[in-house]
Amino acid sequence: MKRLGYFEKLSLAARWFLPQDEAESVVDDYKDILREVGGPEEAVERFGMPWKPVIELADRKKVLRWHSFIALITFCALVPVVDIFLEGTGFYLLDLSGDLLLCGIVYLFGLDVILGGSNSKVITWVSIVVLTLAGIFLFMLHPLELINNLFAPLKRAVFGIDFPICFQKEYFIIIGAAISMVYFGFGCKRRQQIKKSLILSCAAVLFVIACVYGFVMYCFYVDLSLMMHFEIITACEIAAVLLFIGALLSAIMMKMFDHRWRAVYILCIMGIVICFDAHSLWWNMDPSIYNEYGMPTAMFVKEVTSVLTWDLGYGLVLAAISLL
Amino acid sequence: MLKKDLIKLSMLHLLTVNDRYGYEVLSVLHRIFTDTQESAIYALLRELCRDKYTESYMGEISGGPARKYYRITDSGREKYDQLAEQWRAIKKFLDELGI
Repeated sequence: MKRLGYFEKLSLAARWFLPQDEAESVVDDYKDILREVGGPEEAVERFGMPWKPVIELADRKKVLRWHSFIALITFCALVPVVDIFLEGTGFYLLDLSGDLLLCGIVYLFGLDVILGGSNSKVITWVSIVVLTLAGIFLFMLHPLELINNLFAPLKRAVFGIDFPICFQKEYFIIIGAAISMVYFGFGCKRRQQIKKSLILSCAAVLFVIACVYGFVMYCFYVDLSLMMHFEIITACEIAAVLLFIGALLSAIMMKMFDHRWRAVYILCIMGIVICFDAHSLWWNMDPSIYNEYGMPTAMFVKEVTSVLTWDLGYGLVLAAISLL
Repeated sequence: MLKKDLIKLSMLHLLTVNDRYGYEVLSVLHRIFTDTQESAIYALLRELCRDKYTESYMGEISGGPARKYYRITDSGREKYDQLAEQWRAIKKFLDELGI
């Protein structure tokens, strides 16, 4: 494997810590400067370790903003994966808490964007206004329940009370998409062509999703007994972990090279959510879903189809928008 | 006036004489400010560029690859006058003290 030289390490550090335009300019400068320098040892002696020149240029607020961004999008991809391994019992929250969490995450992120300086002021302000109004409306509608729900996770931990499911896992697709759009905004200053690697990555993730979605549909419409194979569950778990790794890598790529990598990130979360749904379908098979011929009832099949197709549909739409 | 401002003043002065590429500025200033690492000097060059006191463009040199050159802007000249004025005042004061 080729070892990274001083310049390559400096370029990566610049792309990690600096905004894209500034990173490119700094990389250009150091390409010139290092041309005059004897070798890596001399470069270290004169400029310090490869990340040092970059740290000296970095704006602390913007670095903080980038790290809070990557922490949030990792969180969005990680929760459904963890929940798959906990067999859907990891995150029991009331409906309202789910809404609150959704508003809270996006709202706080919006504030962070304002404090850190925004790339797209219009989107930031619109999202802040909409989310603030939504928060106020929610509070006016159910003030007592809302306060109650704030303490719900604590109650569960202390008193062991179980709460009815449902923080919708689908919310994470929206949260992931929303914060990446707020963070990067739309449109490139210099319209560059979409790279082949980005297209291939989208295609690879779509292939995994098509396999999971296609398999579940095949089981429900043709042969349900296939769902009983334990390997299918393992396959779902492996796919979810791979998609999580894909989500993390694409998050790094969207900061360091092209923000349109967020399309891959959104597709990955969508894939994880579909894996979660397929996985929980297997674990939650109930005898009541079968008709007298041993096949699932038409209503259940319709419900499964609409849930998975809904995830697939808006995941694809958000991924397409994020290519702008 | 801090050392940082002195380096900036020197940079702007170099650029009032003629346009220079990054390495040229760094090597000249590092010869004067030997205890300051070149990466720190470069950070100040970027700061001047970010504050619009200088601007960059790609320039050709004969027989070599294109390089990024820096030139001073109008607001850079104003900043240069302001820093130079501060420096003269300090120098005068130090002379009066006999340092």
